[in-house]
Amino acid sequence: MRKLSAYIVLVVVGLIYVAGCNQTITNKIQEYKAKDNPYLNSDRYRYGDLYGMSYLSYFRKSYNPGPPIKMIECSCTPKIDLYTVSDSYIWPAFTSKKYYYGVDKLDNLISSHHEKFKINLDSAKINVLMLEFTERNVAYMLEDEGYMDNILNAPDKDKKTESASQELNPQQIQAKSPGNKLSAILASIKQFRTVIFDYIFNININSNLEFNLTDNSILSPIKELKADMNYKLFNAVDDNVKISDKGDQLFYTPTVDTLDIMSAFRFISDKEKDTLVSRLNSIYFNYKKNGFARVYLTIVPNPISMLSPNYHSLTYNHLLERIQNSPSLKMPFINLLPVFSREKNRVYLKSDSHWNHNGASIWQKEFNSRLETLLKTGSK
Amino acid sequence: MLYNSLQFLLFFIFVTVLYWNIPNKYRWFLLLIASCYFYMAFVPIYIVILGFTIVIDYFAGIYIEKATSLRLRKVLLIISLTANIGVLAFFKYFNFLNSAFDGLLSYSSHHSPFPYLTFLLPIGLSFHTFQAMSYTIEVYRGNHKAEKHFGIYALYVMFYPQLVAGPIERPQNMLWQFHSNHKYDFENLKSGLMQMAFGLFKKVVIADRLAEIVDRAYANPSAQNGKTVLIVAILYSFQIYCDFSAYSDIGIGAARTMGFKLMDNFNMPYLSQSIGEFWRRWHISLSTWFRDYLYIPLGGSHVTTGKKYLNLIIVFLISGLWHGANVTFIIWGALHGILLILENIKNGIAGKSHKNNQPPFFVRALKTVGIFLLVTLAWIFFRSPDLKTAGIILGKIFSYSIAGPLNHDVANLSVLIFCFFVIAVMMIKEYFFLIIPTKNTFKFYFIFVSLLLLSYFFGVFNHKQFIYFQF
Repeated sequence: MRKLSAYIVLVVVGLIYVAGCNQTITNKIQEYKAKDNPYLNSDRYRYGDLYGMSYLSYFRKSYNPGPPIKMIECSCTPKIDLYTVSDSYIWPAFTSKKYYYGVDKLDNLISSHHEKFKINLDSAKINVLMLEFTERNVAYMLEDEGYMDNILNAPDKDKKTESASQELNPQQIQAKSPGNKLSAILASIKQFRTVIFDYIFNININSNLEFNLTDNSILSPIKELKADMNYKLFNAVDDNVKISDKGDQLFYTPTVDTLDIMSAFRFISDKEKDTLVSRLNSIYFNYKKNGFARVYLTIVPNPISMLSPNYHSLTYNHLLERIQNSPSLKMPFINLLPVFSREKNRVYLKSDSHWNHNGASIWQKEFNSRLETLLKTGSK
Repeated sequence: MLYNSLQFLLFFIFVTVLYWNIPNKYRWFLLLIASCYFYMAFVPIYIVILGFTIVIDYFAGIYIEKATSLRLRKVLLIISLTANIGVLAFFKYFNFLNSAFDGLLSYSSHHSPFPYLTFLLPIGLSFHTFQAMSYTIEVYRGNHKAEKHFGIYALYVMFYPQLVAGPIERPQNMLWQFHSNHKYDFENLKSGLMQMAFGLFKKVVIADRLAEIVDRAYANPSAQNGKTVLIVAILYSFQIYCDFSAYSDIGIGAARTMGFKLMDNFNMPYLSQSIGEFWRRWHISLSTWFRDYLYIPLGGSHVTTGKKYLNLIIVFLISGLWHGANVTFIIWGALHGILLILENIKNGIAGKSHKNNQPPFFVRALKTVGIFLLVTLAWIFFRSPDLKTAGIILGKIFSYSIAGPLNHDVANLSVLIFCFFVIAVMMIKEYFFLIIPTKNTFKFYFIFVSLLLLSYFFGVFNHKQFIYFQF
């Protein structure tokens, strides 16, 4: 009996460990938990991403994403091919071309450092690029050489990516240059090592295990009890979350921490701001040169910049305004600042680092008015 | 792999259960593979460095034993020590020495021609290097036979419960245990699990909670007042104790669940009444290592008074440097050396007549508090990233004003009350029971589960490394 129990423990623990090590299995589990199903429900994003980090029970009740984003009824002939290079504000919500005016084809290209942008233009269409950043990501993205390299090379990226991958393929190296066997062997070893390390020494194993084992709505009350006790006793919340002075709004820590590149309170010199503007201009001219009729910029304000710009007497850096008001900026932009500062209590969730459906709808309306004008003028 | 992580929890359960369910002859192999995996979970490639020193020391041990001439034995020992110290020096001290060299050359408007190393320091390097050196030294001295079984020798260096932050074991205590047939003992299992649970409690409930306060203050020392930095300095003393002794507790406990007995590393150091006593109670495995392999070979106390003091300073300077390649660690070591010398001088003046007289309680209590405060002042250098920070902190402490308010951005009152309460509970527990008794199974389950629940609900789980991992 003892042996049998031991073997059961070994199998169960082993399987849990392997699932935590393997990113593919963990991703499958995450997908399954994210859907509404009778078992293994996750509350991580159900009540806002900051609730899922903090588990403060107060914010479980206050979740209201607002009315759903409307699809556009358009009697026009769709002629626009829209490419969006955006982060998590846009791509999960605006998944269909029907959200946009006169768009025939939509391609959401995610602004990740590791994503290769692939753009194949149809010259018969009006090609539009919509470049979207959140305020917190402007400097983080534009100061990253990998991101700039990706985005500046995107229009003709396909060919380059293909040739680069050919260079890395050990079999092809061997076939093309028989004398270069050592490089092929080394490349094979490197590939093998990468696979082994990814599967056996996954650096995300702890967060994966935490998600797989404890991210379940059944366990949420226990997590909430811990979070509430720590908040009430020590005024302590999760490191990723800051709570407003009144205690009714959560903010994402990197947007507050003065040393973080994402912070709204980090000192940003004019020189740094000018560099950001210059990089935006490079992107703009590059895409215009490569056949885009329009390139638009949207910078979505951080929740803290609108709701609490004087948080703990810190000095707000006004980065968004400074970029938009820069006389050097050539890229046309969707200016969300006036309406967002007016509607600040409507456009953000209490427990999420993103805008809510109201905020997204405001942006959608502003952007679609640009598309409508473009379609009417027929400019290419 | 961090002890305070889910990954370790699963790893520990899997390895321990498998260990007790395979024949004894395969256990060394299981432990070796598990230890390799444990180490590689940090940075896999660094296993190569560890492997290099293991191979060198394994063969050095065998050939030292075989060598008939003293000269050859000495040469082999020097090769082994050079390999170990060379690896340590290259990874840990190269940048420090290069920067000093650069500083020197800068007077003549030149720069060091050597580039700075940009890779991470292999985790726990100082610990396993010292453990490996203790093996070849003991074989050289004839105190221990060379280990012929390569796997067992590798396990001696790599045994996962003490691989990354000690205790720094000796071959006499460990090698025979790897050859023994350990019988499953429920009492050992309970005792080991209890020590692990208490270690986890110390780490996540006390050390990591204190770390939040201490880190906030040290991030901006100029913004703090004297009262705040004094409290923070005291809290850091407990943070480092709880952090490091928690690692030892979990390691010793994990080894015990498999029937191994590792040496104790701490014995209520903050109850010491002298600096000498403090070093007999703090990081015992390192103190005894320096005593046996450095202080005594230098002549120890059987030399002239001046030479003895010089030996003490050398040992403590090297001890400081062992902790890290930074002038702050050297000053920390030097301070302890100087305090110990002063203590020796004072004892010499007082003479031996007082030795047998136990002073009254309040005198002993005052001495304990005094020693704690001296140790706390020295910790300021240990914790500070540079001398400037240490200077600011000390300046604030010595311009202390009782009227100054506590900086609530660093810590609010309820956190401080909680911290001092759990520290008091821990001290009382350790005073009465260094290891919580586990004979009564019901009490064991009750205390064990309570510790786990308290650790979960009041613990800080931010995957913060143990302080001593960096050494």
